[in-house]
Amino acid sequence: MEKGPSFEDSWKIEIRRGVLQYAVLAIVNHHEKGIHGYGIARELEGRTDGLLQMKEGTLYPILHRLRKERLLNVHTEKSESGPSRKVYVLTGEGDRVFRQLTILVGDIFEKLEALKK
Amino acid sequence: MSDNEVDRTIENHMKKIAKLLPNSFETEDLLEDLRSHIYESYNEKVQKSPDDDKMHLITEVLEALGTPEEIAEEYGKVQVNEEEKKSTPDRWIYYTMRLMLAILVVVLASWVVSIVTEGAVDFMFAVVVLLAFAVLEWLVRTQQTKDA
Repeated sequence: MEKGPSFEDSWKIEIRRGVLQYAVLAIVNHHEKGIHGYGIARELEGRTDGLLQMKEGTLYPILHRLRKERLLNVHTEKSESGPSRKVYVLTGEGDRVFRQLTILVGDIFEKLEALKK
Repeated sequence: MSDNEVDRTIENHMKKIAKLLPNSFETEDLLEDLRSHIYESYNEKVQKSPDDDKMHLITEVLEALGTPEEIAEEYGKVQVNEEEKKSTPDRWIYYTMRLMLAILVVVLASWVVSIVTEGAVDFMFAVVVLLAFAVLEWLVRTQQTKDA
């Protein structure tokens, strides 16, 4: 019988998926002038020590969703290395949501720490 | 491996991804993003390791990108989340508003056409024709959403 992923692995995938949208907002927020998709993928890998590393192509459906939710705006710029690329910037609503989520994330980790004691 | 072969490898990968996604404007947008990402990543690798085999480098890029199935799966999950979100009472308000707006635009456009042509195009005829186009567009959009 084929064995599925362990409980631990499934849990990691679920939690990573959950925090990924927040992480993307955090990275875009960090770049006032905007950042392109490839840059976001690089930062996700580098600044989280690979913890939030994902298949890079799966980042784009997430970016599209955040755009649809009007949390991100996009403009196109020429790229020296190939086709033109989209640069993502946080909208006013995106900034508000990011601040709210930052408070929520802080609260969650604080309560989880308290639960361990 | 020549640049042409690299381009062909990239296009083959893109075709495989496109096959798994619905045929819509959104998919075109997504494919454009992925293509741009692949070239960025590939060119960075070539700059870092100019002596490495290009086939090896493009394979690494496509592996990091994910299989067409993985990308389509994530796309599907995002679409499902959006559909769930739409299943609220707000959805009906949204559709009613859109319908009202479409009718308003059709009536205004018909009136303008009728005035500009000094009655050569009958107002009611213009309303019927534009409404038919609006319904046709709606049917195409609905079909695209179903495909998604």
